[in-house]
Amino acid sequence: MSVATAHDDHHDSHDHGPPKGWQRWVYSTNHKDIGTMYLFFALFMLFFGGAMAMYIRAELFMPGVQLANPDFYNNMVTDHALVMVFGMVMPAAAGMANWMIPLMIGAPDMALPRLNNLSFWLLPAAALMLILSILAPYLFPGSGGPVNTGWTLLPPLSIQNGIGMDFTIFAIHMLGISSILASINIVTTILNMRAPGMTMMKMPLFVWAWFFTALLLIAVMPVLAGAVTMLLFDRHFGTSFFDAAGGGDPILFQHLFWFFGHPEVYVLLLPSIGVLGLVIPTFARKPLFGYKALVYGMGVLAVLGMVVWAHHQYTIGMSLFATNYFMIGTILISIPVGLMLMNFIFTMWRGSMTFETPMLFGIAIILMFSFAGVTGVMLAVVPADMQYHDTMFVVAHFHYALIPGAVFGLYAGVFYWLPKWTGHMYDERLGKIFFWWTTISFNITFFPQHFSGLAGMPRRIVDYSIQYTEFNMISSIGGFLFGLSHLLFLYIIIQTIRGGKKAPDKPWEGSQIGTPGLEWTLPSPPPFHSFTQAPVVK
Amino acid sequence: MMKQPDDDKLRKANLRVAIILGAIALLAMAYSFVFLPKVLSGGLVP
Amino acid sequence: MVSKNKTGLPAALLLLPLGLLTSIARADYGYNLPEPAATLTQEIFDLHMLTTVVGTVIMVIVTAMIVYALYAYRHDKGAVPDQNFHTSWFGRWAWVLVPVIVLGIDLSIASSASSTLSSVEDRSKADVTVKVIGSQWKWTYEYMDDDIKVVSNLKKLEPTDPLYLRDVDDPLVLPTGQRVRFLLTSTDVLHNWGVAEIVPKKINIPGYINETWAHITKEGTYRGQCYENCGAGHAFMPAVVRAVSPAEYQQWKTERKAQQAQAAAEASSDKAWAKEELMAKGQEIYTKNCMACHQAQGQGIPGVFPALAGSKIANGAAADHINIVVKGKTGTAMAAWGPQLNDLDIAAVVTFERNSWGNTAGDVVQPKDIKAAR
Repeated sequence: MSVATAHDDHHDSHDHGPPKGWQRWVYSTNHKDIGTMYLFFALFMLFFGGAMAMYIRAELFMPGVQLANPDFYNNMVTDHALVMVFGMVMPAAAGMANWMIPLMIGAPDMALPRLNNLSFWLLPAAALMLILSILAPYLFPGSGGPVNTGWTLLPPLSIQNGIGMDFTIFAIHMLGISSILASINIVTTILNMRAPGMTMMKMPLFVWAWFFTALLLIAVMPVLAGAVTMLLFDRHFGTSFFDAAGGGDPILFQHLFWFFGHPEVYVLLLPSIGVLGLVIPTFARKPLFGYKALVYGMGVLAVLGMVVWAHHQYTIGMSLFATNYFMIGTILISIPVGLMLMNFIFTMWRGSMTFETPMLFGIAIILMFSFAGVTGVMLAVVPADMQYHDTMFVVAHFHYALIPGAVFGLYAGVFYWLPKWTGHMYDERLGKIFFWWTTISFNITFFPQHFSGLAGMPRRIVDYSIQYTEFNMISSIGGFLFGLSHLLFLYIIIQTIRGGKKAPDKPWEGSQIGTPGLEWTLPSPPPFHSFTQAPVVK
Repeated sequence: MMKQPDDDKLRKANLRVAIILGAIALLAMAYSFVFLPKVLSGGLVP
Repeated sequence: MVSKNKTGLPAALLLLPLGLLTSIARADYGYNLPEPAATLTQEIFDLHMLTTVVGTVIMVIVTAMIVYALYAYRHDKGAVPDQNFHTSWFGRWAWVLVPVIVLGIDLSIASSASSTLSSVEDRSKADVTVKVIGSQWKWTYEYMDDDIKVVSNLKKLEPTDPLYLRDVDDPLVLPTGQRVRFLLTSTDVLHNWGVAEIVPKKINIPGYINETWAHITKEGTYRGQCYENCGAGHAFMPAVVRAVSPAEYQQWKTERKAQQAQAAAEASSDKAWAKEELMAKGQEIYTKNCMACHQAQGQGIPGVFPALAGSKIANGAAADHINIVVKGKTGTAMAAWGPQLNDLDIAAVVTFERNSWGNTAGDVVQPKDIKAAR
């Protein structure tokens, strides 16, 4: 595929560089700057949420309550999840979308640049709200206990919580508005802003992945906003949506939450699948196997994902028919997911592979995400799930799904695009050390949790009986190593931003195979205003 | 697909798509208040 | 740019033997679902082993494919990429072949799961019906046919004890060889009564009743706990079941009924109790029911659970104190104890609270005061 820049008489109105000082960032409508801010915000939240995880692992190192009271522990469990899901993975993926989608499809910027600015600047405000919700019991003594429900915020426990719960609800409102606006922007950009000749079926897989992600977000995020609003009304305005005493139903909240919550899992996964769809063909030097199948597979996954929510709550006592329906629907999800993973394996098949850091992450994702899929099918089987429900087995399963599936995908993306973003090559040796360090320590952390979960250890407990000690000790040691490895990640990023070998326009030799984006036609780093004249894709 | 990056027609088309998507989001919000509670009070499941 | 030979070796598989080794080091160390002790859990256990085996086989195949690809198709070994692989007959039909194979596996798992699910939801007539009530943070069991009530509180042990967090003062006693129906509900927040050896879990929902059942096949003591986050004491509410032979169960029932009748008679007599008697009994009741929140010295947990030592209520008018204990405080974790404790118990615990930890109310509350306040 080749690209010709449209010959047009040059007018200078867009030639100025970025404004100077703080105004460049606060008033920014530039997709690259906003993307950069998203990515740094996510990086900050990664360490914030990671610190909470370190506390959790330290508390669980041995039986007995050592570090803080049980409510503080449950508060940390809650906010670790909220920060990692809403503060880290989603902004990081949105940052990549902001940076890469306009570059890939040859657009000068996002379709609605000022909306873009708003969607980012809602995030720090929401983060502040979340931090306030943690501090509330200490800032406002007598305002009730901390948020101790877990990220599902299930009533009636969430009705008992103190003012921190209200801050959490407002934080979720703001995070929700932010991602709905960002999604509207992304869908509009993809539909309207493609360069002449860039048909939908020529788009890089990452753009397709974000297209489905954004549609999912638009459909389900408002449901969560509705659910937490009902919670707020129950807490303060005397309604009884979730209170049986007033004719409500505590289970209604679970249905609403998971109607959002399950598609949310795919919101976290799909952008990383998109990254994988670029990384694997690049380093296997071979076009993506089954591009169309992957696109349609993601579509099927998005639709199926919206109709199987109740598999998170098999134990609530649904009718036999409903339970059977949700079980079979859930098991069927293995079809699109299996197809995607097989397509990635067949992309490597008969290729010519080299193993740069993004590719190492890509291979690890395929392997470990398959494993998460297998435990996922085990969990989908209702009678067995009644045994696994709310044990550490579930914790192990979803960390295997979300750390390789979402977070490692983002790491692969970071290493893949760092040369393009910064104009410098990262240190390949350090990148590989980081890969092995995280992958091995991740497995040490979460693999033993399958066993402690099967043996019966519940999740969200501050203290456990001594039969689970060994597995938890292994897990904690792995967890500390996993946490530590991210300091190396931070170092690599800073080092690459500050300098290093000059990156060529096309740093990866295989990046032009299959359905490449237009980002490689630009210099590294791309100019502040790119594609001011529409490129033409032949 | 885009003809020219700086174009009034494009701007209007963008706004149109954004408004449609926003309306879908509002409908989804209404859904949580109206539709699901009905399903759960025994409407859908035999 | 190219790493060593072991590139894709799955760290997950390396860790498997590690996990197994630790389990051998300790005999009682479980790493699988606990050995089932009831017909239904046996069926579920078999289903679990089926999916585990299928899953393991799939993982072996996937891993083998990846390892072979990493070995055979390496740039540094001069592999030439086949640019037309995706347009070969396999490339054109893989999107059909892969889903058909996966669908086959899916349907075989789903069909056997579906039949087990029907046994879980089987509603045949039960011989014994037990209502399991979760509350923050203890279990109350009511035998529906016999008017017996068992309240299970955590037995406080050191974190080195093998039964740390796994033992209660008064376990649920059930007969083997009979069908037991459990009706699950809660008084405050969601709980989940889980004893993996004998029942599949259903959650306890305040205001609603869930149902599960067991046909226990082996005598023994089975230990589980709460599996749905219920707040600060979530980790501290074990569920213990003692399964005994039907004969022994009958005997236990008779003894229990006699005991309960005696306690009830004592509580409803019009006797005026001495302060020392009430204080001693009150301490016992306090330890069992109130200490989880209000703590051993009545100091509470600041910002979460109010202190009783020096509190306005414990030092103020007795009527207000009795009222909050009997009726609870809505919107907080403070439960209404009226339906859970008898007049004597409440009188004793209120007296105890008003005369301990430096509280100076000094008065003695009698069971008749409680009767009047109900």
